Amino acid sequence: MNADYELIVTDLNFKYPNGLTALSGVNFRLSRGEKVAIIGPNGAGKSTLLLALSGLLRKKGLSGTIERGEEREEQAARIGFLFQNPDDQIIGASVEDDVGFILLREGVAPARARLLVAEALEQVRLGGYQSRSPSEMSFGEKKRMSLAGLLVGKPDLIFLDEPALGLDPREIGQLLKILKEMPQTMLLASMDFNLVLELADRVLLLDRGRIVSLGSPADILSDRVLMEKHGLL
Amino acid sequence: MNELSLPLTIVPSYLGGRHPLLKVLVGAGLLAVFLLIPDRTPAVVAGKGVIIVLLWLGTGGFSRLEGCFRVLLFLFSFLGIIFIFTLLGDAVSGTAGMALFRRLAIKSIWAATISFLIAGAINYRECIYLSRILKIPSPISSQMLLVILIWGKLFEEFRHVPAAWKSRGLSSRYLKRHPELIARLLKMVLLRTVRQASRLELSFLGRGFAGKLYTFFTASWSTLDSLTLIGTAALLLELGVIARTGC
Repeated sequence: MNADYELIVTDLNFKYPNGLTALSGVNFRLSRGEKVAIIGPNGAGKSTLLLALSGLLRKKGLSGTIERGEEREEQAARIGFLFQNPDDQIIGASVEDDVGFILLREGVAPARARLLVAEALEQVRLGGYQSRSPSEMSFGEKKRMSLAGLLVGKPDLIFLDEPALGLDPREIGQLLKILKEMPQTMLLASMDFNLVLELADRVLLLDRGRIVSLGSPADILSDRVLMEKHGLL
Repeated sequence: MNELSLPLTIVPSYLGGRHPLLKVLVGAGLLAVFLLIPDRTPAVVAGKGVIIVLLWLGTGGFSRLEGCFRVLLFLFSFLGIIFIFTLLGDAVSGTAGMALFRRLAIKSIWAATISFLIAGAINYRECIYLSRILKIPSPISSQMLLVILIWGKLFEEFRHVPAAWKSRGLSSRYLKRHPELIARLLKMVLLRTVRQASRLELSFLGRGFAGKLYTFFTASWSTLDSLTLIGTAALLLELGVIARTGC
């Protein structure tokens, strides 16, 4: 595999058990450090594509090849996935336990793990939240906490499913700033076109499981005919 | 459990702040003694009642009154069903059958109350810690801990049900007239919980879950823990004396 690419997807197809096609002939390449946004109407297959690429989708019904960058022993450690709803993602009873899960699983000493958790929380502007219970936090805070839970694992590739969903404009601004500072390769599904325009290097328009267009955010988002045709305007 | 919704949500309390192992020992001791000592005399029942009140005060007091009430209400409705079956059944009808039912009912109330009070004083992090220090094999402890996590989600879903009813203009009177709707709503809650559970599974897998749960939480045994253990043992011993002497 070419070392410049983080991800090469070739002829990816996915069918649900009921026969419904979710992904059909998806091909694209993701360069290292690149931020690509997937846009498309509801039911276009955005979340399914992210789940398939992250390895979280069951193998049955999935065909095609997904090549990743340099292989590491622990695949989970190099991939991060942010769910639409942070409540689906939280598995710890405290912020510290949740964010530090990957570190403790990898056998990092608790004292060192605590330091790394504090760093990750600082990175998402949640410094000092360690002992808080996630149930006491706002939706936006939970979302940033989930992001911190990914960052501690130092992933090379991050998948974000509707990162701006449910956030108010100030929270979106905070999130955008955090995401912009992150050097990782990023693939995000989003319907927030402002976020896409500000963050993404390229945009991939998906409809009915197929890639309809792939190009710069300015080109795709300003193409009224294309956007209207696919129910995005 | 802490962090979970009512009726098990707890507030900071004396027993809540003690060593998790102490809570397990106190709970196990109370359950064993309460179930072993028969409730023959009013003095024994009164003695047990006093211990329950102390336990209740030590685990949150009045702020848990509503939760206790809900649990007991649930238990009584369950016992009501058993009572009806006891009356209807040939094998257990008569004086002996009713005496057995009375015994079982009282023991169930003791066991449910103790379990509820102790469970509400142990949080999820402490459960993970306990499974580690008690060296419970991870396949068993993880299953139990995951069930607790899913229960939390189930409670959350149930909490949204009254609002969902009202938003659709469904009053409790309307639901009483159309009981089939309750079954449909329950189905929806369970389906949503299953969906959430599968999302949680993905979250675990995404973080490389390999059958073990982790926490930063640690605890050390204090003098206050020892004193609480001695105090509880003394109370239970006293109960034993009351049961033996009858006064």
